[in-house]
Amino acid sequence: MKRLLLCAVVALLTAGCGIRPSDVIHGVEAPKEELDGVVLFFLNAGTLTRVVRPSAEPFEHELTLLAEGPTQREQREGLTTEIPPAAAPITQTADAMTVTVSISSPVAELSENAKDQLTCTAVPPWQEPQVQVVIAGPDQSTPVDACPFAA
Amino acid sequence: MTRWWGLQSRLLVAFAALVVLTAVAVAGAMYAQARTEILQRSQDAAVESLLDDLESAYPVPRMPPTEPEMSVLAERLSERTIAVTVNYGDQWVGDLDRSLVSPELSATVAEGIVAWQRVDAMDRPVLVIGTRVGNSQLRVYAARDLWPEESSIAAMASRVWLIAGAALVAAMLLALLAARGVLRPVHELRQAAARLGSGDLTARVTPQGSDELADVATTFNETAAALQNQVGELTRMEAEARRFVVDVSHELRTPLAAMTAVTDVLDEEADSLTPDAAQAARLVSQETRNLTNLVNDLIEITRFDSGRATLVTDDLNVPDVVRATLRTRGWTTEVQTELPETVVAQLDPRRLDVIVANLVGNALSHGEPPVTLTLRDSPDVFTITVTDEGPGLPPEVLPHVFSRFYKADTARTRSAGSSGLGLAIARENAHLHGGTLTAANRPTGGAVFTLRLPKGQPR
Repeated sequence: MKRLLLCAVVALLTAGCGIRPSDVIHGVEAPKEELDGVVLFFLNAGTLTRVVRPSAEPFEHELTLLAEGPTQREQREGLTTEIPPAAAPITQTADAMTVTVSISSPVAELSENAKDQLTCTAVPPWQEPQVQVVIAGPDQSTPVDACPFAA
Repeated sequence: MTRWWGLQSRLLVAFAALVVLTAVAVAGAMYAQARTEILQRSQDAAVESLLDDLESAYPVPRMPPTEPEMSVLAERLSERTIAVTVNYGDQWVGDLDRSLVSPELSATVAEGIVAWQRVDAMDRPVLVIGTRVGNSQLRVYAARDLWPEESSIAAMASRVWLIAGAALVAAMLLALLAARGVLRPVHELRQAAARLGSGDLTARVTPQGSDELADVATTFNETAAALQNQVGELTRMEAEARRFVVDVSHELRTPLAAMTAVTDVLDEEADSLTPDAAQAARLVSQETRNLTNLVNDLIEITRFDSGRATLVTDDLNVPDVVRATLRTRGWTTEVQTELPETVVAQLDPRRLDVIVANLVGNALSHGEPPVTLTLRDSPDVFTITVTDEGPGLPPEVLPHVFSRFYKADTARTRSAGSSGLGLAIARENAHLHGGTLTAANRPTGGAVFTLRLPKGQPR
């Protein structure tokens, strides 16, 4: 009886030796991504792409930079824009419930991707609270869907 | 003498069990604690360094990231890890084996929680840490080798085993010492008790220390001393009683001798007395003879008791002695005999005569005729059986038939001429020859006394 107990204890001890594989251990929440710079939305092979530019140079507004399109280097990396050059200058006004993005070209000529670029740059998806975006052009002003970008 | 399950082995086993249990409990608990701590510390450090590296790599310039960007990120994170993989959707970039990332881990990481898991990779413990980058679908998994921790834990375990083993050996030695300390007095006590049991009343033990065993030893000594005193007292009293009997017997002899002379004269003169006086004279004469027999028997039995009885042996023909006994007592006609011609034995003729006379006299006075005496010869011993045709001995009498002064019938006075010592003396004589005398009942009724005596020199 006593010997049996001893065997069990020894077996238990040796089984618990060393480092055993474990279950998944939960830690803290994933660290937030600090977007330190200018955040613009361009297209990469037709996919809405978030671009963070180091804010080295002073600039007027993200929408102005967006209207200027990708830099040469960004173009080499495959980034494109569907916002027509005629859309510049682009301005933005806001009240309590809506953000109005005003462009200088007709809204009807904007592609869906171009609208998404404008919406996401004006009101990024991580901004709280989300507000209604309205794109206003010389021809019309249209409320658009919220930014569809998902990282 | 060592017993398999003696005190020593029990002590050893108990000590060993105690040490093993204590060592297992203490070392096991400490080992588990230390292992958890080592692992926790290194895991936390690994997680922290990964998160630090990750944060220094922020922000990811493109989202969704391009493959070159993912490799750049993997490259930056791989400095302090053994393998890294960066995952976005279906894209996996990096050198970490994807099979090490368990579905549970990736599910937890997808919920936005930093998570880690220990897995076995090629028999080496590996820590796989996973985290999401910000709020995106970009996930990073990094593996860290736990081999250094494993080896330090193994070193700790072997030290624990070593110490436990040393403790076990020390405990065994202690147990042996303790067992020896307990067993030595016990052994001594046993020897003393054995000596006491075999009659050495002076046996004592030396009590050592002041423990329970010393108490036992003291008690043993006191008991032995008390026993010695009592036995000494009893021996002294018995010796006194015996001496008293001897003295009384000897004191009675002289007056009895005188009385016998007087009663002899009275017997001769009885015819010339009046019938009443003659009867009284014969009665006195008879009782005087009985008393003389009793005194002689008493003296004889005290000789046996004091060990002063000696054999005066001679080579003789047993049938001749038996015939002489019967003839002297005048029993030749009353006793049927079956005697071989010659049975030569070396024994004391006077004592054989006493035995045979007692057996035959007993049969004649207590049993019914015919009384038969049979002598049988065999190589080393001869047997004499005396049987009668009476009712035999009652079962309750049988064990006491050789006891001194035992009365078969308490209501009855002793039969005339019997001292009550005859059979006891007969048996003592048989024993003195190295033989036996037994009494029994025959199946057909009647008592049978069997005497077996060796033919050679006794002892």
